Amino acid sequence: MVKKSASEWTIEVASLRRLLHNAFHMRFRKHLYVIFLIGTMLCPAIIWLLPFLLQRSPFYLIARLAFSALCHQQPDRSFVVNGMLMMVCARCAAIYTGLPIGVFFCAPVFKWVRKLQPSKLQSERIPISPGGVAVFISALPAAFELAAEKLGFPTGNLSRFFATFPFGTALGLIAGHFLRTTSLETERTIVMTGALRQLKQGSVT
Amino acid sequence: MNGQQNYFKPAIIGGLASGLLSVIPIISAGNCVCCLWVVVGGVLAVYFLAEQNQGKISPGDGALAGLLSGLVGACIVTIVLSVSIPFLGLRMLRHQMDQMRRIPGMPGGIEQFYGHFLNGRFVILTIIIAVLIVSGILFSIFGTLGGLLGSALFAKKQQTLQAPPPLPPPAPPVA
Repeated sequence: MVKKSASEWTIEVASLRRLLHNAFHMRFRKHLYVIFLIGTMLCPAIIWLLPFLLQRSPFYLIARLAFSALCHQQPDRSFVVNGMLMMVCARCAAIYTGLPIGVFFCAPVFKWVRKLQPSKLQSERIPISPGGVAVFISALPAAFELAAEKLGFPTGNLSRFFATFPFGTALGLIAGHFLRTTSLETERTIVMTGALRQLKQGSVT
Repeated sequence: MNGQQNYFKPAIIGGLASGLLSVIPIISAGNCVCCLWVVVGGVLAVYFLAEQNQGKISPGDGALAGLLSGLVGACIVTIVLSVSIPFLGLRMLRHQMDQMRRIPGMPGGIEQFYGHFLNGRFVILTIIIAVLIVSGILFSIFGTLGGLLGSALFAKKQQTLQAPPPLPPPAPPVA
């Protein structure tokens, strides 16, 4: 048996690490859209279902504690579901609920946007992207609602929810579009790399 | 992009930023604005990734860097919380209970039930696991959003060949 020198071992380990890195990287990128979609679907499931599932469980308090790093959780600004406070405030609930809807429907929506030929809408002087415009417009109801609240107009949790919901959906649409494009491009790259390898080996005539 | 990106350093820096900013009292209130610090952590991770690669990054690279920074941030939040649980954790749980008491029509007997639980043995371990799971999901989602935002901000646009400027109109003939 031929003994390998230290430098040969180093090269082998380095190539193995590169191989593992590439495999993980490409596989992860390929499924990035699906991973993100599942993650965003878990959020509304947790916040809407836990008050039902954990009404008689101490885990409810712990789940609320876990969400406290990301939301103020003020009782007067949160929905009461099944006699229990929701994990997050009404505005956060709207964002968490809108995100998966946007991510799920990004493909048909962007197909429709492409039909509108957004290049014609873009100005040469001001670089406007359709995504940026969508986020800006969708944030307007939330901004108006916030302004109305500060000015002393009567607002409630329902108005907070429905004013912020379009913003969450728009965020989901844009994030979903970019991630879906990345996943599709990665899949194409994997297929092309495989075909090239087969061509090199001469198995494809 | 090319699959050779090194996400380790950017993810650690972005995750440290998002995790620490999310646990410092008062400053952590920034997270009430659409998880601001988590998004900032994702943007920071992409900034360092773009620095490493001279701005040659795709939205996918940005999203991946943001996602990893979110996961690192969630681990940091969990570590800090698990260290501070003996001092703060149980007090925070009692604060949650105080909030619950304000709801009219809360199911009867729950208050005593929770009070009994808070004096239990495995409460700290349960808190750590729950915080790790929930913050892992939320931080990775908003970190990804921050990463996408960062890639829009810091990725250099591909140089495209531009058409030459039009020729000046011919000079009028001199009489």
